[in-house]
Amino acid sequence: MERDFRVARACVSEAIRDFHFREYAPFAWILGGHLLFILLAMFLEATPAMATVGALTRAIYGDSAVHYPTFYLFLPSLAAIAEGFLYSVPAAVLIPLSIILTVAPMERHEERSEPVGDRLRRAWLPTLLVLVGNVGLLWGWQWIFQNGPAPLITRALPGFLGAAIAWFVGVLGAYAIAAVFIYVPIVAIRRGSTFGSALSEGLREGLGLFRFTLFFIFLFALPVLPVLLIVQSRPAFIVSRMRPELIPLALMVYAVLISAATYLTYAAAARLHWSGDQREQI
Amino acid sequence: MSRAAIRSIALALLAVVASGCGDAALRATRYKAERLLWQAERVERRATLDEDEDVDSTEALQVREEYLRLPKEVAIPRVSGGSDSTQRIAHDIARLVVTGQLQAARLSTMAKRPDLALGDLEAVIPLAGNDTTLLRQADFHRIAIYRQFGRTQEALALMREMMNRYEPKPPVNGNEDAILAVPDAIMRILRQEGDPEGANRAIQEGLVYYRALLTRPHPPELEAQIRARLIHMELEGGDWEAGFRNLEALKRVAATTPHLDYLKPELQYTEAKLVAMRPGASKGAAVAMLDRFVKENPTSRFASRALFEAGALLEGQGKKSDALERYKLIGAQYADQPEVAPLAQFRRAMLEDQLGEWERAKNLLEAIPVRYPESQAAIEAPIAVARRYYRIGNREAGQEYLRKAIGTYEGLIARDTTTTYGAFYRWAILQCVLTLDDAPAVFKTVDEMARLHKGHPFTAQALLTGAQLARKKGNLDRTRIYLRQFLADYPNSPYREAVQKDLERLGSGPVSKS
Repeated sequence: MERDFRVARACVSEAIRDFHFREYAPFAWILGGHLLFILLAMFLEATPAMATVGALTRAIYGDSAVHYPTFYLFLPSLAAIAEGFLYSVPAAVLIPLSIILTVAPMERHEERSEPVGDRLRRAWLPTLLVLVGNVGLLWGWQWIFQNGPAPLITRALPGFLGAAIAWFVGVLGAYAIAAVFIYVPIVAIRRGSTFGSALSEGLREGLGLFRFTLFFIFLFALPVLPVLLIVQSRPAFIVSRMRPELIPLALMVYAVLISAATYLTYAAAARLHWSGDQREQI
Repeated sequence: MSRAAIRSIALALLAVVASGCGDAALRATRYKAERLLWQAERVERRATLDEDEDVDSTEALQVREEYLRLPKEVAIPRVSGGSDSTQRIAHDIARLVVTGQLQAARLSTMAKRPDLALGDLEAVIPLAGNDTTLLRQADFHRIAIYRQFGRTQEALALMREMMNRYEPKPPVNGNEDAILAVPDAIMRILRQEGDPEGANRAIQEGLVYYRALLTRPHPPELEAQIRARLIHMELEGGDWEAGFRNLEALKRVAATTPHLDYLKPELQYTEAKLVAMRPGASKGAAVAMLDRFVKENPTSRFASRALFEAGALLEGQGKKSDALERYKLIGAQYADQPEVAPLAQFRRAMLEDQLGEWERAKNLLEAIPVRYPESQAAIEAPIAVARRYYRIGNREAGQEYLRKAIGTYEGLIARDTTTTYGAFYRWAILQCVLTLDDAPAVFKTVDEMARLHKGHPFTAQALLTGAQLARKKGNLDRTRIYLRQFLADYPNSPYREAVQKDLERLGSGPVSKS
């Protein structure tokens, strides 16, 4: 089957229409960890929260960050670090698991009959590598962007508009990087895949389907963007003019939305990849 | 993943958690205290309590409740031993809780509930434990409340108690410990209360206090500050010889301690003032020193005082134009300094009048109560205008101006009904109505003073003045009432015996006001 935007759109609607909680469940575990982290951050005046999230905050940002309401200024960055960890380390197992469950109805019998444990053992290492690599590249991109194009944009367009455009370009760059790596776990769970082939085929697929994948990511992330924009670009405004507790609430909304968006992106990408398989078989 | 790997990860996570556990409970408590304080401050910001306006006491008390959540919901940990970090966090918590309690006291004051405010401050004592910094903070708040509600004797008693209770601390970032300023504050309050004898006694107490402090060893910065205070007290007491001796000692301390450079302007000003005070010394030399000081240190906090001193010395020498120049300079450059600026404007007006510029002098005098309502000059300025009319024989204009002056004072009272200047304004009204020979207004003012400024020295004077006028008008009942009130409110007055004899001569009569 020729993979074009018509097929990509079909994959998107299929991923949404064919949602099953069983397939989403591994992402729900990541979401649970994410929400637990934010919940602890919300109740830092409880000793267990201070001993975990508070200790982590102190280790990263120093003692001045564990005071009220200053803590909430650091929380978006801290939550981003937690998110980075959850979507790379536990996700190295949970994302391939979700993909296995998602593509199962589409797979041939011999593939489907392979034990899940074997497929996960094959997939976790390349997945971990690309997910950690993705986090590293995102960090590098953010650094380059913040020290280069972002100030140029904000200087050319002062005020909220300039800040919003700079933020949007930064996010778009981050999504573009993520789009390249998305097929590695999808390829890695397939029968006969090795560490090297998962990486090479996955990256080749990522580059070949780049525009479609970017379309998936952007489309599913659309509801996330306004929440992320407010939390990341105006934390000081929320803390000083509104209520600091709005930040963790917004982060919780963000966590739910990004979990759904990530699941749907992988589900759509897996379907697009599978449609390519069908073409080869034809 | 093998079990061993899972166990290792679990142990590593536990280690991370445990590493934060040491002070976690304390940090969590501090975080809660910070949240409660922040929320209370937020409620207050939203409550729009404007101290310049009439505050809604119910709203102020509601905000107070928010601050009181701190002592109610946060227990101060009593940490004995432990690391520096543990002790620092425990101190932070205590400071936050006491801040909540102090803020509650402030709001009680705003709600015009001194009883509640003092109760709030009493509650600080068990919270602060042995932390003298917090206890001192509470005591300074108590003084402010006593002063605001006219309980001057209690304020003075507490200030004297504080001098004995708290050892002065070395300066932090050059800032003097407020306890060192207490003797000076006592002297100023007594002067403000119209009690020069009490002020002189306070000077002697201050001298004893500072000299006693100097018998003990202190870091050079603190010693320098104590000595500087001592010199000022000696200047206030007119003891220029002791002042010179201590100035030399202070110079020695400053010379051997490089970071006391900031004291140089103060030393220069003090020396000029001492030269001016020395009997038989050339006043011209003192003026030159003061002028040089202002030129070299225009931003020093002593610059405006130096200009005023120079002006006063020049006035004493009859050099009116030169003195006028100094006073004008104060108005132009130091108009925001309430200790000197109103006085300089008053003296400037007097000199303008003497130099034939009455209209300008009158404008200057009329501007003082508007610009500096809480100053001695604001009280004297309107009466000075009326007196001038009387002096040139224009009795009608004088009377008219006295009525206008009464309006000015009433406006000043209405502007802030709790001001410590209330007794002064009413005393000034009394002078005006006495000059106008308006007996009902005199009695009304005396009654108000007896009711609102009980214990104030001006009220004692007002009661005697009222009794005198009542007798003159043949109203013996009112005379008896005023004299009896005087005896009840001023049992230690030197006039007590005379008043008692006076009452005996008048004989008994009905005590109700006619």
